Amino acid sequence: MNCADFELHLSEFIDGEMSSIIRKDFLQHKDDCPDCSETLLQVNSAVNALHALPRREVSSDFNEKLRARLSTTEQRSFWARFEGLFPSTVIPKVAVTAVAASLVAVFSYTLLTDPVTTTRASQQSVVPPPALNIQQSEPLRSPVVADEGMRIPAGIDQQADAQAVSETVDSNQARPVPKRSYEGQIKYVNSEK
Amino acid sequence: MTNFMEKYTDEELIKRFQEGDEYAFEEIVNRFKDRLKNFVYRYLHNDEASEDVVQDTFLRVYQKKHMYRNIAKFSTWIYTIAGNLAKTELRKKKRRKMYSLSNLGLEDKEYEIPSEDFSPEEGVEGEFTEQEIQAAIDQLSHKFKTVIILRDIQELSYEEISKIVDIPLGTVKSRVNRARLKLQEKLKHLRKSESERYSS
Repeated sequence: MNCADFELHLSEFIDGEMSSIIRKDFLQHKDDCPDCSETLLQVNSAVNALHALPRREVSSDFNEKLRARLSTTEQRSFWARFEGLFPSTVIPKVAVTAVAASLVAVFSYTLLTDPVTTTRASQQSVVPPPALNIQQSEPLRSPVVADEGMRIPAGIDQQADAQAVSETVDSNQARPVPKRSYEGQIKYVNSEK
Repeated sequence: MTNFMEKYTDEELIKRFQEGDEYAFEEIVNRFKDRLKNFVYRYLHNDEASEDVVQDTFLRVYQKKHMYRNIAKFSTWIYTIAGNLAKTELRKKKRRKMYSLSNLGLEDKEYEIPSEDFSPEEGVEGEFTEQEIQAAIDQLSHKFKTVIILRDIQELSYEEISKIVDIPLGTVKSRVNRARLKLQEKLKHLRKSESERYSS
């Protein structure tokens, strides 16, 4: 056995796991080589020093602190439990789908309940264009008038709105716009039937 | 209160806990808290930080109890969790130190950063003081530090270390051997200076 082999087997010797065949050569080399003999002593001494290190213990209130932390975590653990029901890869997909569905629902609701889009949609898709009845000029933006099938959002002062619009039109000398006859449209639809 | 739990093995305890027995968890805590503190302390050498890591370890065990499968020893599992958390904490600690040194413009120099809670009275026995041994351990690279802590401080078997560190048994044995030689190299000069002191 040479010095390199001796070093390779040091721990086997210290741990008492050395086979009897190697042990014989190992001890022989130890007796023949003072440097390796010294190394063995020093490694053994280092290992003993590690074994002798004072044991660290937790503080006396460790369990109480842990219990407090566990109860706090338990209160917040709704999502943790939810997580336990599904594989972690599914949760982001479910969350994203839910958010997307909510956004679509809100957007659709807004479109359906918006008075301007509702009126336009009903005029464009259901009612064919009526015969124009050009009698007087009409503001570019017709004042909102309460009628069946048309909702006016709360908070809109109809008269003030109409006045404001007509004032603007008057002052700008707007070109005349044909007045839509809603009654005529209804009649037209009915007469078609 | 949990004395009747003492008869159970670690694996039986975690099984009982998985089935909803909270007393089993308490027994697990009592069995492992000091062992884990001792283990984590050798990485962080700070009592408070080590205790926090041990608390975090038990929290993980509590929350992830169903992730333990009875194919490995429970101690292997819990040491792996604690070791990973200690490693993370150590990285944070190093970043904090680097940050504070770079703030002072000292990043190019090497400074001995004293242990935060070392008192000279404690652990002075045998050839070396606890601080000297701890300093020697700290100088080892992480792979050597881990195996030597597990083997010579925690006194775990080579087989168990192999599972915790997830390397083959032969590699663990050779790594422990090399770690011991490195440690001896680092402690040797202290030994010499000690003997020189006596001779002069």
